[in-house]
Amino acid sequence: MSIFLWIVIAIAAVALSCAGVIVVRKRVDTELLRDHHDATDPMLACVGTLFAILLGFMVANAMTRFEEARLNVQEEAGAAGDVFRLARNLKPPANKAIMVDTVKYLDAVCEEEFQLMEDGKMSDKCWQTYSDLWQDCTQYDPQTQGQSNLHQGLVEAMTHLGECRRARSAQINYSLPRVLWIVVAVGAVSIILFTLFFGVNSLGLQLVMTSIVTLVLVLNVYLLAAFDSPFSGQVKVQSIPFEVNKKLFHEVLAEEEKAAHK
Amino acid sequence: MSFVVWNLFTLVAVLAAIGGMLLVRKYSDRKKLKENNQVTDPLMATIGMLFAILLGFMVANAMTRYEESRITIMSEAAAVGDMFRLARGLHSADSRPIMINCLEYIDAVVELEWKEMGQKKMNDRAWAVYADLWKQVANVEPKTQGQSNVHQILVQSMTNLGECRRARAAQIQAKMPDVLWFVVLFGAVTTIGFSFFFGFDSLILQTIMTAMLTYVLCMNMYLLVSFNSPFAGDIKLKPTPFAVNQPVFTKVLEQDAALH
Repeated sequence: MSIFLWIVIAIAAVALSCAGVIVVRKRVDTELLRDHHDATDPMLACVGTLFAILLGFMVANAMTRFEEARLNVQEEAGAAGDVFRLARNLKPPANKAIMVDTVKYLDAVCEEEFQLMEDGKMSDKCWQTYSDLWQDCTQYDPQTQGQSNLHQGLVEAMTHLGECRRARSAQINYSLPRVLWIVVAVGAVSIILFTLFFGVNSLGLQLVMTSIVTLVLVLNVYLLAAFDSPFSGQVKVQSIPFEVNKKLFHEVLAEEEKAAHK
Repeated sequence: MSFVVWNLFTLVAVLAAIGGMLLVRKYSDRKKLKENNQVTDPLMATIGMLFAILLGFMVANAMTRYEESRITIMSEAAAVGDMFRLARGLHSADSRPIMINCLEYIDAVVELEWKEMGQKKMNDRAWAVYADLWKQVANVEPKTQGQSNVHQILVQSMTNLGECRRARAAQIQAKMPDVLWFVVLFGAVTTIGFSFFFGFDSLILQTIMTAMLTYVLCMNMYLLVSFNSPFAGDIKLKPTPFAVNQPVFTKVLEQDAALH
């Protein structure tokens, strides 16, 4: 959801809550409301604490998932880097295929997949390159002990790359279930409704206080929504770790090309 | 439990709370209650806060267990994926049966086991395919150094798969002890019950506030119930990490078959 839409939601929520204050003050005597402060106060405290703790944990949970997704992207890029570096020291020409496929994979992830992930999709081209990369790595046959050691490391790095890739494809499909959004909405609305039952002498003061409470609630719900989907929206995981590798590896491949021509 | 059923429970709870409140209003002197509002206020605040914090942490704990289950599923799916890819590097006589069984395992988990897990059961077919996989992996005889390297990691992945599968089997049985449910229920009833002791002049105002308090408490308990069973109910975990592998593996197997 765009930031503009959230601003509209926040303005609408503040306007509605202010309208609620005015309607309640018109229909119910302020003196009567003030008489009940002793009851409204602990009830709001109870509902408020319940909702604050719940929302706090939900935001913390969403942030943890976001952090996991960010670390996962870093690890995947790291694993791709390991595959490239290990392959570079294997026997040619088999190593060249692995290096070229690694760069192809990085290109496809940066240029195609990260955009598709915003719509919850993975790229077929990436899956194909990933499959080719596996094939290159597992079909390699080391001739010396040194190559065998490198090959072991290569297969492990490839396994790690695969795990991170699959984790990423699962992460794009995970989001907070709709019923939980309903619970969050019910909690937020209840708190705002409870604030309407306070009788403050100054209408202006009550409107300002109600607006602030509403704004803070909307802001918290926005945080939850923003961190809930790590690969789309304003707060999203970037493809920087892949791009750094991509640039470096293109340079290495170009250097090797040059050296081969000399 | 589904959200709709829980809302029906909530409706009953709200009606019961309003009924209780009306009974207290009928059989007690409202003036006296109002005189005591200053005492009822801090007591209600204490009970309400205590319960809110208790319930909050219980929900957080249930959310952590839910997250653990999600991570277990992801690790298990990753282990099967690794095995499929690694098996491809083995001798063709060894590789294809393992690859086919990896796909069969995923099919059994997604199509059969996931439904049974809602009833706290694991599927026999999935266990059988899992046992076959172990046998196949353990019986592989690498012919070259490269295959030996691949086989080593394959055995590691099989071990990971087994660990995650057993963890999942344990997670479907895990639940909050009954005594804690009693504490939660007692806390909720006490909090709502305490609100009856406020002396309100306006019946409508008291009805609205009591109903809202009860509704919010019930919604929080719904969260606890939902997160407590990660494989059942409205927010149950989906087999997405496994399902992601299904089309990819099918395509690879078809490609390999076409090549041969």
